[in-house]
Amino acid sequence: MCCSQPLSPISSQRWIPDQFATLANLHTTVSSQYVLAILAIGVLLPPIAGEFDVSLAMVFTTTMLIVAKLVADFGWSLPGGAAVGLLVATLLGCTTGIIVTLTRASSLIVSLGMMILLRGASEALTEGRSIIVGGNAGEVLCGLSNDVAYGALPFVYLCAIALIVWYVTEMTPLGRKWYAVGGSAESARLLGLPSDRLKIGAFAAGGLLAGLAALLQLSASSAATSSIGAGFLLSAIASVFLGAIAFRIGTFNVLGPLTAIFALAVSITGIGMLGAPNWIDGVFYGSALIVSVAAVQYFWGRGTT
Amino acid sequence: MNQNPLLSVVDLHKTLIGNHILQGINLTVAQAEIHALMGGNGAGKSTLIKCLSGYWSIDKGSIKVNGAALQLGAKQIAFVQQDLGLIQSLSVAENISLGVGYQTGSFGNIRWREMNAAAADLLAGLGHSGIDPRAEIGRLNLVQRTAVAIARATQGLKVGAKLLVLDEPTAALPSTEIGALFETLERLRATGIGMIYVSHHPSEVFRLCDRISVLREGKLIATKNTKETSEAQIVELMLGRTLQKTVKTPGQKGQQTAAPVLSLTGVCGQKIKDITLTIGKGEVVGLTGLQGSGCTELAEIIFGAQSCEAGKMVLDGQPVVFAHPAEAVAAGVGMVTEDRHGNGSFAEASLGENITATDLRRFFRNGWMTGTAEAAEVDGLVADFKVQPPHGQRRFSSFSGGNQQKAILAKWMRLNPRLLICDQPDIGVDIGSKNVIYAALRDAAAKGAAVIVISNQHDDLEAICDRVLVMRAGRIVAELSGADATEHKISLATIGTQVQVKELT
Repeated sequence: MCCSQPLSPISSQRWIPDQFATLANLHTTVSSQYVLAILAIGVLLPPIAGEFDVSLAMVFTTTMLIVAKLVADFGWSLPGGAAVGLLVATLLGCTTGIIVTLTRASSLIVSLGMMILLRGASEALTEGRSIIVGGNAGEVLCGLSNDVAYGALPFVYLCAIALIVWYVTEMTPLGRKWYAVGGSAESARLLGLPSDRLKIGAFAAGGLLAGLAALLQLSASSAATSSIGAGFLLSAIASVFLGAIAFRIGTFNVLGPLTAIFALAVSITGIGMLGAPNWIDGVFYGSALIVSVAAVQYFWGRGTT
Repeated sequence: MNQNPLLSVVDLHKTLIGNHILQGINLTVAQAEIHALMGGNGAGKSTLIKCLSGYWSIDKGSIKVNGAALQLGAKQIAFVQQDLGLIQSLSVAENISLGVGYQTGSFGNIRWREMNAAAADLLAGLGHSGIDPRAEIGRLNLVQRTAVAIARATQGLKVGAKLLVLDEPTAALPSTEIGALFETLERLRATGIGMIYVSHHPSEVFRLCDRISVLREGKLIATKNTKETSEAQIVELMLGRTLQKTVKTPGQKGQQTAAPVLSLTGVCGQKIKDITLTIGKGEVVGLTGLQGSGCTELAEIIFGAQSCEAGKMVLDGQPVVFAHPAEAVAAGVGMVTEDRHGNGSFAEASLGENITATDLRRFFRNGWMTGTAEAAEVDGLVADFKVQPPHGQRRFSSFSGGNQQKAILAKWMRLNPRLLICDQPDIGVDIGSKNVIYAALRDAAAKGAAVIVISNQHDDLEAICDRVLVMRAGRIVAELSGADATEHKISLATIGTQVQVKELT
């Protein structure tokens, strides 16, 4: 089955109460979060190195549009289009990183500028329409996110990506250096670590992951529009912060946002099934973020420093 | 005169995170008394002060100021914190006004002219008329900043408090500037103000203070009249054992005949001019000078943290130009930075992670970071450097200053550097830790490293250095070695020839 329903950052699918808590429901709830989860892992990387990149949701959108346009409008092969897409995504992250390290400007502002710039560019790419990838390439794309029983392929991708990022951040010197730069860029520099290059690397890796999330989204929906990434932005960033309260308290880590995304998706779906209105999503997500961050600050932040 | 003591602390107890930090402190401060509070790192000085400021509530006992119980927000005591607590981006006058509030005009507008004039008056009263009240704090040097912090605190005193607490006010001051600070404090004493003066340095305390209380392991060991005690006795009380001065290893000198490790020729930076020096294998060279003399800039240029504008640098016979500290580290150079908190450590990481950050490759085996190998190395270094408590997995920021500094030294020592530069390794470090640090530096030299120690503690330089270079206004103005490298001669050279002339006449 090719899933063509648009994915939303927080599941907007509703169930009637008699379908409560079936395995199928859980699966549907969870599977709509894969793209967000991969994007969130990308959003996580620059903060580990002490910077933020809010443009990644637009990097995600831009990548989708480029791949879709190359394949659908210019007749490129899918692998060719995907490779160019990933390259562009990585370069976009890299560019933000280079500007931030060269100018010492706030990464929040630079990436905000990048985000707005990319939004304009993606509107130019689509001219307001959605680009549909059909034909042979479309079928191959759909096959990439095929369900095989309950072990959906996207789940496998997510696990693989999460595992690789976990390995790099927790098990290699590179990860430790990223955390060091995030702890104090100047201390890291005076320790002999190339702080700037490490930061740029984290931005580039964030871009690459946004690109991978874009490919998965394209394979799920077979169509790209310029508006698709906007909804992901806040959820991805929020999950990164929310995730910093779990596993390694006060530290950005891979398992954190994943847990946050899936726990919230399940609870919000549950609330939805009890008949709560749509706006509950936002209120619930926002409160969860504030309460948990405040709790950590209160119980952990004070007293031990 | 009021016969009641200004401050009386009776049987004060405080427990933090399960540690009984203050165990029954009894302390009085009289009017017009400067009362020294001494003790090693972790003795409980900071906790006692935080109890006085109301930051911590007390578990048992009482604190009375002028006979009245200590109340939160009553401004009974004025404080000058160790980090001064100034806001860098605000002006001198704005910082001073933060203490008592801004004077406002009829429209709620700040009366800038009056505010600046009041600040200038206050500073002039402390003997610092040269400070522009409109200058940003960030543009002042450390001496001036200390003066501003004291001005702000004494302004609070005008409101009614008669007790001032100074937490290591000389920690970052060069020794020649300390006299000016003491004059200011003596002026305050003459007005009847009582002071608690926290310090690590017996020499300062004996110059200034009337009585000395010594804290050790949370207990007040003794309170002595300065006139009836000696430096040796106080140090003994602080340490709980007889002090062994760091002994200069004999036979170290004269090794300059061996190939030099580092030589600089005509090196220039933004503030330093034409620096030429040579440091040999196994040598400990001291570098000292007044605030702004360029010692730190020279260190940073050697380490590649600042750019070298002209001149030649040769390390182990190879001409080098370090564009980034990474290149210096790769060539076997290490640097303990002056600002331990700002750019020398990762406060939120563990002590062990701070130590191993200099080289992680050695734990990366078969594609994994091996935690056991890392922990083993950390444990070894923690034991070698006598880090207390010996728990490498604890957060770096939870350790006392002396133990943090030991860990920072350990992180460079594990690389066996060819050249080690230590910029003010003794700031905020107790005597026990200082001896460990200096012994480690001598040890590194004995193993063949070249060591540069930047310090304003001239007695320490005399004790540990083979040679001392004195800088003034960006140039090396004196080189003292052997019998000439005494505390007295180093201090004279630091101040400059005019003072020497004055002394002779």
